[in-house]
Parts: sequence; C-alpha cells; structure tokens
Amino acid sequence: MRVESITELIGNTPLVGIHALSPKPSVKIYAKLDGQNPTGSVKDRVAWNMMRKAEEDGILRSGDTFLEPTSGNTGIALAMLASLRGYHMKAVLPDNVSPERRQLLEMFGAEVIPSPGEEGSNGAVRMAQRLVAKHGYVFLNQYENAANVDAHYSGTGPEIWKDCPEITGFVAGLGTGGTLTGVGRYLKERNGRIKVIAAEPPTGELVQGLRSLDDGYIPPIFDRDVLDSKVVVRPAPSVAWSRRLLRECGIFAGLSSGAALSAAIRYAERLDEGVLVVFFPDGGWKYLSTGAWTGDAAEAEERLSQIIYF
Amino acid sequence: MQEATVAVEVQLPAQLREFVDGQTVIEGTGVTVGEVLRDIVGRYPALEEGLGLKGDDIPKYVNIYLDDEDIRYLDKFETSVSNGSQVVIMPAVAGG
Repeated sequence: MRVESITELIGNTPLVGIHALSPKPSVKIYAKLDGQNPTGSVKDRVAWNMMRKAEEDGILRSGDTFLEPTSGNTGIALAMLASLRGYHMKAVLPDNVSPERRQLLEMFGAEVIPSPGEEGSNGAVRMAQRLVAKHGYVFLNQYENAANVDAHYSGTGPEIWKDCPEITGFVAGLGTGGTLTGVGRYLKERNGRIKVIAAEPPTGELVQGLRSLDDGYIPPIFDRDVLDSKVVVRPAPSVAWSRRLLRECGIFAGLSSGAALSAAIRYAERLDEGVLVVFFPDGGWKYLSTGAWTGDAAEAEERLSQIIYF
Repeated sequence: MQEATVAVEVQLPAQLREFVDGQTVIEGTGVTVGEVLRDIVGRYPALEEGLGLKGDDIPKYVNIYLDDEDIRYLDKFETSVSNGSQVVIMPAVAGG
C-alpha cells in the first residue's frame, strides 16, 4: 500500500474473527478494529468528514479557530487534522478522562480547556456552547453534525456489509450515537432483520454534578429508533472482556470495546445461531494508566468508575 | 395466569436522592417496572416531578434499566419484573 497523505488511511478497517470468545459455535463473532485508524480511533472518520463538509460549506477557512467538546477521541482526531490543514483547535475536555487522552490532544497541538468532570460530557457540551456564543469560534459539534452519522452511513456501514453480508447483529458502544445511527440505518436498509444493539457505561456516580435529570443530554444526531436493545455494561465486565480479548485473541482494544463485547456475548447467549459484528472504536493504548491489563482487576475497575472511557 | 407482585430494589441517581430522604436504593412492589415506580412515588410524591413522569412516556433524559437492559427496548413501563430483579435509573449522558 502506498498513499500520499495520512488522511487516505482513514477507514477501511479490518474485520477479525473472535469466535473463540463466542458462548456457542453456532454464533460467529467478528470485531471491527477501528483502532487501526491513523490517530487510533474511529473518530478519524467523523473528524475528517465533518472537516471536509465544513470546508466545502465555507464554514472553515485556513487560519480559523474551531472549538469542540470531546471526551478525547474526536478531539485527538480533529487536532491531528487541524495541524495538517492549518487550523487552530480548542478542545473542551472533562477533567476526568485518562491522562493519555489529554496528552495526545496536546501533542497534536490542541489547546485543552478543562470542564468539570462531575458534569461528564454533558458539562463539556454546555461549556463549549457558551464559549462559542461568546467568542464566535467555528463549531463543528459532533453531537449535532449530520456529517458524523454520514461518516458511518457512507463508510463504516458499507465496509461491514461488503466484508460480512451474512451479518445478523451489530453491537457498538453509545457515545454520540453516530456509529449506531449511521451503521444501523445502512445495515437495516440492506436487511431489515439485522438487529442493532447498544452498550453504554454506567453514568450514575460519574455525573453527580448534574443538578437534575433535565440536565441529561441526548445527542440530536442519535436516532433512538434504530436500536433494538440497549444495555448498560459496568467496569468489571468491560475489564474482564478486554483481558480475554488480549489473551485469547491477541487484540489490544480499549475498554469501551470490552463493554461492547460484553453486550455482544450477552446477546449471543440468547441466539440459536447468528453472525455478530462488534465495533471496537479504539485500541488499549490510551488506557494503560488504568492498569486494566496489568494490575489488579478490582483496582482497575475502581479507577474506571472515576473516569470517562466512552 | 395472574403474574405475582414482587418486591424489587430500585437504584436512584444522585439527582433524585433529595426526593427520597437521601436513600440510594429503595424498594418498591409491583408486577411491572411501572407499578414498582408508582408504588415508590406513592410514598414519595415529590419523586414524580424529579423523575419528570408524565403519562406513559419514559422521560427523555432518563434511562431506566431492568437487570441492565434499557426498558425502552423491552416493554417500557409494562416490562415485567421478577424476584431478584434490579431496576437502575440513570441520567442520559453522551460520550465521544
């Protein structure tokens, strides 16, 4: 393979069988390794699509400053692309993400503006909205930008369908809802019997700073109707499945991948047969400091309960 | 066959504890998730507004899980509970 720019390496990620982890031989499980994107996460797809659309629409011009709320991956992807294309980037980042996420953002040249961790990503979104209103920064806003969903509808979804037309179920973590909405819509248009399952982390204690439930946030781009099931996956199974992936399949995936896999296994246990595709949004590199693979599992789970890893 | 009424633990997020005298887990009885919540709201009426309960719809920014599955994708408030079930309420939060 030979390309002229790192952006040409975004997408077209591999699908790898992890059948050894399936609870029954009649259910096959494939993992889509989106950690193989240039900055190490699925968000390269989203960031690149949002940036190109903004450039086409004349919203983003060379030398502009843009601002984005992010729990890490989208910011890291945007920061890399911003440095390539001559933009300044400010990232509003909850102060309870893993230190590696912050380091990568700064490494790629973004200015990090911390938001209160106890308000979670919701607090970062609100702070970003205030700063944009005050300073007039360009705002790509992954939570409201249709180019986020489109990156998956026109990229990730077709890739999965091409590599695995026998798919019966798609399982992914829920963050902005971009992956689930875009891939889910595409796959269901191809075969209406395909089930779409979401995994999400427990949010309860992490967002004590939210005053009331009305401070909750549903990204406008997330289409709840595309889902057939949604399960909450706690830190313990997320760590346990991430460890099994490493030891039994040689795959070093991030902790939200472990959570998605846990949801897939739970779903697989109810099936007589099927072919599941589980989406792994990033690799484990950014979570080494949690000790999830190296230390005591209970301590890692406790650390995870304090940080945002989706 | 009439389903049996059972007692179920409901775990509440920090944002709702002021409505239930600071408790984090509270027991309710019923056949369905909706009945269990109505039983609790009967004893702590302020919780109804705190939760944003209106009619049969699950409030937009609230996720209610029965044994870790979001009841929006089961039978909503009509989802049956059984002995040992756990209901967890959480605010909807984004990532990314």
